[in-house]
Amino acid sequence: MNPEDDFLSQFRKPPRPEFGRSLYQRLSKGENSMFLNPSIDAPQPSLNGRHGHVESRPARRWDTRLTLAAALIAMLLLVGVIAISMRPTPQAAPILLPPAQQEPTPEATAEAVPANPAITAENLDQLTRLAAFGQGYLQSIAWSPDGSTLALHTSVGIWIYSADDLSTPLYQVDLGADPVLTVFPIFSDDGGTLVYSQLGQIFLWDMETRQTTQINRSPDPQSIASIVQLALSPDGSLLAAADFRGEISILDVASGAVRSTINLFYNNVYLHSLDFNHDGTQLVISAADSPLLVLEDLTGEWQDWEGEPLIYGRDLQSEAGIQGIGFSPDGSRIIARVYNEVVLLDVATGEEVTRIDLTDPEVEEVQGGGGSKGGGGDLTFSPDGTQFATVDSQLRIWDIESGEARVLVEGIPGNPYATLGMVAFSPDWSRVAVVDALTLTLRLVDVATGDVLMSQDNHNFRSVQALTFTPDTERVVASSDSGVTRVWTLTDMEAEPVVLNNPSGSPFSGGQPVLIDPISGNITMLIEGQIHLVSPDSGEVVESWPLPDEGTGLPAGYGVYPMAYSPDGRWLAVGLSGDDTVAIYDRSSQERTPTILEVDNGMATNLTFNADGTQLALMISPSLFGPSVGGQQHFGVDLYAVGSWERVGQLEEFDSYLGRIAFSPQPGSALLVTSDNTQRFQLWDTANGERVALLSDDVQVNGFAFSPDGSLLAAAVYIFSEDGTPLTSELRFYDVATTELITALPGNFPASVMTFSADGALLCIGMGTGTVEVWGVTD
Amino acid sequence: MIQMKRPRLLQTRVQQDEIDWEAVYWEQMPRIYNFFRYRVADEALAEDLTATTFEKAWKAREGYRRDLSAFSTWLFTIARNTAADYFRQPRTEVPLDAAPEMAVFGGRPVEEAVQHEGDLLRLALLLTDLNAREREIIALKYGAELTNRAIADLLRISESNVGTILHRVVQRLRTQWEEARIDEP
Repeated sequence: MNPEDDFLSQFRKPPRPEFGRSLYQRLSKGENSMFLNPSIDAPQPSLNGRHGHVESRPARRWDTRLTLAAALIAMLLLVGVIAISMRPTPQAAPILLPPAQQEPTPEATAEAVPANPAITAENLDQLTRLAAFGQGYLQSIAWSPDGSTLALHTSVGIWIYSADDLSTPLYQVDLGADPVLTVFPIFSDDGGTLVYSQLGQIFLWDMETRQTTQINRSPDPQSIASIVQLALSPDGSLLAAADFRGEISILDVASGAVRSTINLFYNNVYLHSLDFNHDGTQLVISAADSPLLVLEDLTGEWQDWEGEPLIYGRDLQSEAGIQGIGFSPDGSRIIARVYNEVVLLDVATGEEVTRIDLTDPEVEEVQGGGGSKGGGGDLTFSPDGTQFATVDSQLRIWDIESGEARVLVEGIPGNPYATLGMVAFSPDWSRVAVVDALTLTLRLVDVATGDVLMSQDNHNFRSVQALTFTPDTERVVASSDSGVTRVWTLTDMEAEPVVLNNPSGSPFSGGQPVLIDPISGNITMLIEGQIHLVSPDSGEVVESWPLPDEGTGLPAGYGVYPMAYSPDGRWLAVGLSGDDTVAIYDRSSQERTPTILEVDNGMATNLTFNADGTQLALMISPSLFGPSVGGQQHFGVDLYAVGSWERVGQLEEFDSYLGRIAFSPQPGSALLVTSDNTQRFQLWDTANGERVALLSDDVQVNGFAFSPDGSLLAAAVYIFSEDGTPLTSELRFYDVATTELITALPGNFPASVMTFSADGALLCIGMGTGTVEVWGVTD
Repeated sequence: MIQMKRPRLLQTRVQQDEIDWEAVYWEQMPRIYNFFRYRVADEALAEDLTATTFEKAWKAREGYRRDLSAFSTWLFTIARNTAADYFRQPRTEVPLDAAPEMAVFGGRPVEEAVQHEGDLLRLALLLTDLNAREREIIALKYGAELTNRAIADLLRISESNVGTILHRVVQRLRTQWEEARIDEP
């Protein structure tokens, strides 16, 4: 390698040995093993691929990363449960489940959370989910052919809306236990059926009866590969489905029978699209590294199709493939997009009719001539066939005759290359639904004028990353990594949540902590290098001040910024990853110049005060930008005396990143709990630096929280099999005094954050799916 | 209707059972992993995509044709498709090239973000301004350590074209690298 580009080579790393072995074991499983004589003592990969040797230490029981992937699957199972429990949903408002009931009712949504007793070791068997908030985050949109209905596919299901009122969903489609779709929902041409796929299975949702029908592509479930593309014939009688291997099945919708199975590709291929033509006699396939392949129904009704495909647009074949196609309204033209060009082909002959350059000169100028817009796939013809729309960093409407374009929806400000997001035109082209890729906000835009007719962000709530109760326990503040922070009122469940807007108007950088100022009760957030105090009542910002300059040269907010208030509210500590410091603000003063605490062995990635407010614990990880970059990696917990800010202790028995730390809230207690990347969940005595107990070392702790009196420790965990397959998820409760596991509630808990209310009566769990659950004890 | 010539990809497949998958695995897995590492700048995701690639390769093994490509090229084709598949999926996180201002942590929680090594974050920053093709070539060159010839074969462009792109991109990245470098004690 040229020394000149060593700066690029340095990022190469050998795979983790655990990963190599774990994947090897996974591929060795069963009769269908990849290897003839699998052995865990097989040669170990080195960085450059030459064989090394496996060290003698035993293999880990599972691999953390695969565990995370497996955890995702388990998480999705929970979403299914949530989806079921939220069906049908008459209101967009959060749903309150009545005690001891799994199905919400309209009446129940109007109830307030009853006064619950504190959660204790004695009443854990009565713990139940009281409420669930959130509708997940948007993944795709589809418009019914008559333009009356929008189907929004989110992380927790499919929500059906009237296109005239995006504020309230009509109902939710039941996706069963696993709401993950491999193909986005599509409507049949008559609008009566919504088709979607989950892994290898195809489902037809009847919009009238609200019943689902499953189509099996093969009687052998093991032989089914995940479907990546679907297309319905215009009369709805045929369904074409392509799996990731490139195998295309043509099925009879009425009977579910497979009429033909075709594979035109010699290996895995990325299939961009399948499209029937207007009379259902042709199926056009676009894929990476392939020209357009056009199947004709030579044998009638596609039964046992054995014809030769036509090859159109051979010169369009490219590495990326033809990224999107469509038919002109009269069926005479195929429109194909390749990078920054759109090509119209004659359907009958395959000959090129015209070619339109999508390049935006302004963008070329920005990038120094090195590129242009393009790459996006979505193409739509106007009903009259005179225009088409392209989506990339902008939504543009093109006139076919002149090749001129007008910008209907601008891209993300300041980023000319950012993908705009999802777009769907109403069938009459009067309106277009646009989901901004950055904010995930859904907008209805008038195609003629560009005016925004309606917008909503009910689904704009991704993985919940910060969660807190207000001290009166009447409200829950939840912040997601989509940058939306909402305040839900538990005593008025029908009320729409208060959305805290970024005062600068730009999207939040996401997932930052939210705290309650113990003195003022204001929500404290850190957004783009500014600390903001926000009123939980109005959502208005009441005070803001900037963080110190970290000297990284990066825009404000690039980094890791943990925050914590001392229990008395006097001190606000903020970790600054840019220069490995912690800024300490004295809230008893009007002065906003902090005391700077320098961390000499890494950066603080989490911090917390003890209950007495006498110690500040910093969770230390290797630096990202600061002075210790390049030094020896250090993981641990540093303890500082509040006031003098001298380091008074360290917990150093960590060899991996820590997940979270928390002091016991019990006054006088020196107990600290840690979760780390090696799945160790540990209780420490910070008074002597000794570990009190290893609570677990064989589960993934997704989140944990002490009860307010410090007697209980709740943890949401995933449990895996030896090969990393997710087995189950549990909500565990430990007796802190004895360190014994009291109980484990089975279920699915893709928790990312947990917190108890101040009175200990409610346990709030923020989920990775963008939902928030409130648990409590009922009589 | 014009009947076109049968495409090359429809030619008869060749049975090949002599692939030493164990050797392939240990030889190619680190390259595939590092290709993804450079492509997505996320260790966990790189591992997931590596696993997906090998699973796909194994399932599609009967489709491999020795007469069409070297096995490594075939494997990297699957890896590239796997990456393309990933980038085409609607993501809950904003892609790096979609929002540089969010690139460092991709909207992840603090605790999760810091579990990514610092160099991955620097890599993510470095590659933010590249387009998809440039980033892929960088990943193949510096992640997978493929030769320009192999990259050219894989991308079906000329070797000189690969060299030209690499030269231009590396020059640009080096400039940015120098400008952004923070003095270390």
